[in-house]
Amino acid sequence: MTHADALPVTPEPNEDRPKFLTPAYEDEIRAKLTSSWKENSGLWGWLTSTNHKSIAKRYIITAIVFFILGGLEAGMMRLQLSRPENRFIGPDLYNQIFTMHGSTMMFLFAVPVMEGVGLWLVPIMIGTRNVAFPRLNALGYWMYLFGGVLLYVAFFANTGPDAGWFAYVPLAGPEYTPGKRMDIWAQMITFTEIAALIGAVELITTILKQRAPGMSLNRMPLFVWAELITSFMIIFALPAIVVSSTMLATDRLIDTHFFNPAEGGDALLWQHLFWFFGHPEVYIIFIPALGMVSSVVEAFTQRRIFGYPAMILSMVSTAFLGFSLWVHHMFATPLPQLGQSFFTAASSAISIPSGIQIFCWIATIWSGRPRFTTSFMFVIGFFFLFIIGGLSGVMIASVPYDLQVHDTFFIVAHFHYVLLGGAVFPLWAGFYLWFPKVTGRLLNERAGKWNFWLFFIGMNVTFFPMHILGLMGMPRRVYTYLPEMGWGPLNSLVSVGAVFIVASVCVFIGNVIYSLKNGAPAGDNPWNAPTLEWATTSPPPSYNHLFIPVVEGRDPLWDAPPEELSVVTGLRTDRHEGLVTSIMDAIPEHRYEFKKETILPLLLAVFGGGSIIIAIFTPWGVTVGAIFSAIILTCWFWPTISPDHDTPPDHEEGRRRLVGEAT
Amino acid sequence: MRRREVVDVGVLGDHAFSHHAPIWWGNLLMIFIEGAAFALMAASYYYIRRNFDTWPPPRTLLPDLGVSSVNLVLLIVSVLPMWYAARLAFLHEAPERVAKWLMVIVAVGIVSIILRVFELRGLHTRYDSNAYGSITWMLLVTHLAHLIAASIETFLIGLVMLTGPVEKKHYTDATVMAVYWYFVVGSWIAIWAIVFVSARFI
Amino acid sequence: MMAARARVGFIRSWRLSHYLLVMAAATACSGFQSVLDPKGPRAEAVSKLHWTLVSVATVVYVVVISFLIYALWHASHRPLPVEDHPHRETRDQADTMKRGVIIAAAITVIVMISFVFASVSTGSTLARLGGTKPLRIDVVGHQWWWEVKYDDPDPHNQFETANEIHVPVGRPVLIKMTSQDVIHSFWAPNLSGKKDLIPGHETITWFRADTAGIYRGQCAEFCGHQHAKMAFFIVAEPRLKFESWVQQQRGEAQKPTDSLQQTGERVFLTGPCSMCHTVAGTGAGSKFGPDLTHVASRLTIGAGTLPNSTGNLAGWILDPQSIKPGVKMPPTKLDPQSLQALLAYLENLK
Repeated sequence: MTHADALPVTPEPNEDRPKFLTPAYEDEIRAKLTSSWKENSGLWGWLTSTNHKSIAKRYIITAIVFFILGGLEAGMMRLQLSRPENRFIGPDLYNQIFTMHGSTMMFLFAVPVMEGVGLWLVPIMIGTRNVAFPRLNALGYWMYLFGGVLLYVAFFANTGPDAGWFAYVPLAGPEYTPGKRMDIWAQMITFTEIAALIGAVELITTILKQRAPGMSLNRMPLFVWAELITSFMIIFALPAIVVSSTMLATDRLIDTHFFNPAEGGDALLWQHLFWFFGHPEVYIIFIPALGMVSSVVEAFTQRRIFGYPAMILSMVSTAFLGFSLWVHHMFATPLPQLGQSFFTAASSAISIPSGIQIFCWIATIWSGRPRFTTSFMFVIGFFFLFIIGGLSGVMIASVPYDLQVHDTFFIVAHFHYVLLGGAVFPLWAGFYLWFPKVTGRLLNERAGKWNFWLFFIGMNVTFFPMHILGLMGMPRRVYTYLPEMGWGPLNSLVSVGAVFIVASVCVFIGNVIYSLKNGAPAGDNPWNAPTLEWATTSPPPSYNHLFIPVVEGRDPLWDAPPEELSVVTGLRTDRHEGLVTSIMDAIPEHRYEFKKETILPLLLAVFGGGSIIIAIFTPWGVTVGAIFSAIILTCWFWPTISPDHDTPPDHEEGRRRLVGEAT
Repeated sequence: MRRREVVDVGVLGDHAFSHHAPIWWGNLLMIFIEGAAFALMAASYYYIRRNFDTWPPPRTLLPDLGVSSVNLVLLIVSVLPMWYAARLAFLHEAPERVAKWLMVIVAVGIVSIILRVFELRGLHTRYDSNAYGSITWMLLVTHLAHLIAASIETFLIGLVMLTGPVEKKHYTDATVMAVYWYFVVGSWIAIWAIVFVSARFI
Repeated sequence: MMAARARVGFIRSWRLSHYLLVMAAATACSGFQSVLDPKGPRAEAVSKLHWTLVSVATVVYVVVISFLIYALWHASHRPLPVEDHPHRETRDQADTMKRGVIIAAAITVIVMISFVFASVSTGSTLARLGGTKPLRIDVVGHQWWWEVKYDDPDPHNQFETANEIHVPVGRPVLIKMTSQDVIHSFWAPNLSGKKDLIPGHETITWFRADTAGIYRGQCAEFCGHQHAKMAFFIVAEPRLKFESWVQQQRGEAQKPTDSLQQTGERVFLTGPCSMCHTVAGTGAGSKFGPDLTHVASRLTIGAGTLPNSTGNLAGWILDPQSIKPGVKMPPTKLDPQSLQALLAYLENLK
């Protein structure tokens, strides 16, 4: 096909004709890009932005706000459980709080923050100017924001969901949770999950089609691999929750009978659908964290990660296995024996790819020269905690064992070790690693060490005793317990641990606020890290890279001679233009125009969200919303082009651009 | 930092077709998402089947094969004009010609949507009768939503092609639209086979 | 009458102290609702598995973390040779690393397979443990209490109780379960792992108590407001004691023995109580709440919420919502005389 003729890339410098760009030419391009990529200022600019960095920053900040809210909920639960028969909060509020805690942490914090970090970093890491569909990206954020905010508005209006984040039917069904509580949950979850799906579509398309020339799949940074694999998991896992929460919503609103045993429905259908999403969800949170660990280890040992293909294969096999584990959440339900053994084996098998990755990191550390920065400390903490969670995970893969500890505090301990140790610790490590790139300033290291130690100690004091509580027979999701049960002392200890965690998060917030203003200036590459995001300024300009880089190895900034970068020229600078390359080898295929900023995504999210809320009260909400959405989408897709839309860039300007020709 | 020019991409075009185009990927991923949703609904259909002694449930007639099969044939046949429209777009033919064939698809879409109303009637059950009614309605209505969305989208692309200003990338849009239409047709073949045919044998 | 009251009071306080004694003993040792204090073959097998898994996991953890610490120490202290590439391992290093990772991965596979083997063999042990001629009991889950029905081929010998399952020591017990409303989970960790009670499904579990004692169990699947206070007791007794308990439970309710109790029966039958509760042999036959035919013989009220004492019972009848907020039982307005009478009547339902 003529459109995709491979354009030869010549990575080897031609000695006869040095092709270094002149500073004057670079300045000219910088000026042009700055003006054409300038974002609108003020509130309007904020509402209409489609730059991936602005959107991603909002994702991350919003997710952290939800993390804090979810943490406050956890704090209230710990206060309530700190002693037996406590009367701090009653069952009604407690059930809302633990449902909100789970829903917040899973739907509103963990997945969005991992996607947010990906949406910020991936385009810069792979050397492109924006994500593939900037408007859709903005829509995703607004849907996530409205979904989350509406859930919290309902919660503060005492209409918070109270049937658990897993919303088991029939408890979550029309008969046992009348009122609007679970309606709002079902609708908002669908909403935020659609946002996550949009993020996944963005990331996959961007990663597959917009990598810098030369960045073949086998040169992609491990973090980008992690985001790619995660996004594919999202694509296949999240439809399950969209389908099941739609079934729940229609069961509640228009009397369908999907989960009503009296009319042939089945309570277990919900569990199958929910966990078909719910288990991969854990890996959707965890795999990007693995990518972050790789980036951090690479930067702070100054070594490329050992066993790159093994790392990728491990992540891919984790993703595949992740889809065959959902039944291990249902061992206490009636299931055939053979199936149970299969799920035991599959669940334990996850330990193999996880183990291989851990061994490769340890080998990398062994061969390198570690620098014990806060970021690296968090990764060491990750090893200490995640391995505990992983081992208890293998234990509960056993059916007979799980039947004893399932739905007890042992499980609470297990998955907090996995999710906090395995995902939040790497996230923090990533935060300390990339904060200078995002803001131009380093986070304070001393506060960082406090942040680390307080969290590390608090985490163990809080969650380790929960293992023992579970074995002592304490079930999950209880708002209180009797003094005779003997769980009081350990619960008090656990609650004390939570204080450490709160203190650590406060230190972190303080550190961020302090460092935004007073942090040491970072420079382009403060850690001497190898990936492309460190090739541009900190913070990066709105167009990311002045010129799209050309990649010659797995570690672009380590492979090239110092202070030298191979680049692409010839992209138009008068509009938002990027380069599309081939899927496998990243050979340039064609130039591509990114859509510009617009208010339409916000409007669509407002009408979509509004109609879904109205639909809780009358089915007409769907109809009205559909009509408005169709109108907005028409405007969205309607061509808005300049007269010169298909003209190639001005080649004359190239005359002045090379040192060899200019002199 | 010194920058070395190694490739000048100014000579490249600014749109492409098939898997070279980002929008083609975006569309494919949407198809994956929706396909996964359909697959889960189909699995739910057979899961719910296990709770009934007879299928369809007692006092429920088998779903009518007539209208649904007409719709099936109509949709399968519509692949041809869609393919032709995509072919014209691929060859950058006059936008009016592409638009004309796209409008044929819109017409097919409208007829198919009308037929769907009769199909729903031909299920001889209601979404609130029992779980069988719920899942069959869900399959048909979800597919109906796809039909409506695809028809509107096709209409819009056709309209742009007619009124302009037409960019080259609209040709890409037309070919991508065709892929989506094939998905709508393909998913109907599957749903028809599940709801209208397999119900007779399980 | 005074004597009767005093006797009832004595029995109450005896039962209360017995209950507290059990609780105290439980708290002192590892627990009467504990995975680690098995009292039957099923829990025992899992307890063994637990210690196996914990030991192996501890060893694995210590080894991996030691390697990590060694790697950190080694990397921080090794001299950097001049020819060392700043970002790549040397050939020698690469060989060591490759070997290390492969060996570690192989060990992981072996450990993982042995985990699965331990699990599956425990599973098949559990499957083989079933015994002949089990005692058959039906359990129905309700928000938030347990309906317990003792099966018998002769319908006259069937009887119902709530939140308390008496079993003979050493005889297997087969429990057939379902739920009336939402999903619950039946779990008495000293005897066996849990099994869900699912509306529209019938599930089965079994256990055997090898030591006499009182074992507490609790709902393990979140079931709404009072999930926290949905407990039950398994009372494992020697066979003779169990048989006499069965004989007692099969009978109809005790007839009132004095005028106060007769007044109490009237209060029960004409007041709101009979709208939800059954007392066999009287007109009260509603199945909405627990069967009260032999309520006085039970250890606790409110599904393990309170010890079964006169004062607690009075508090429960007057205002259950403050004790177990959200419980389906409404508060009952009674004048002091009626309450005294009702309590006397209920105390007599042994």
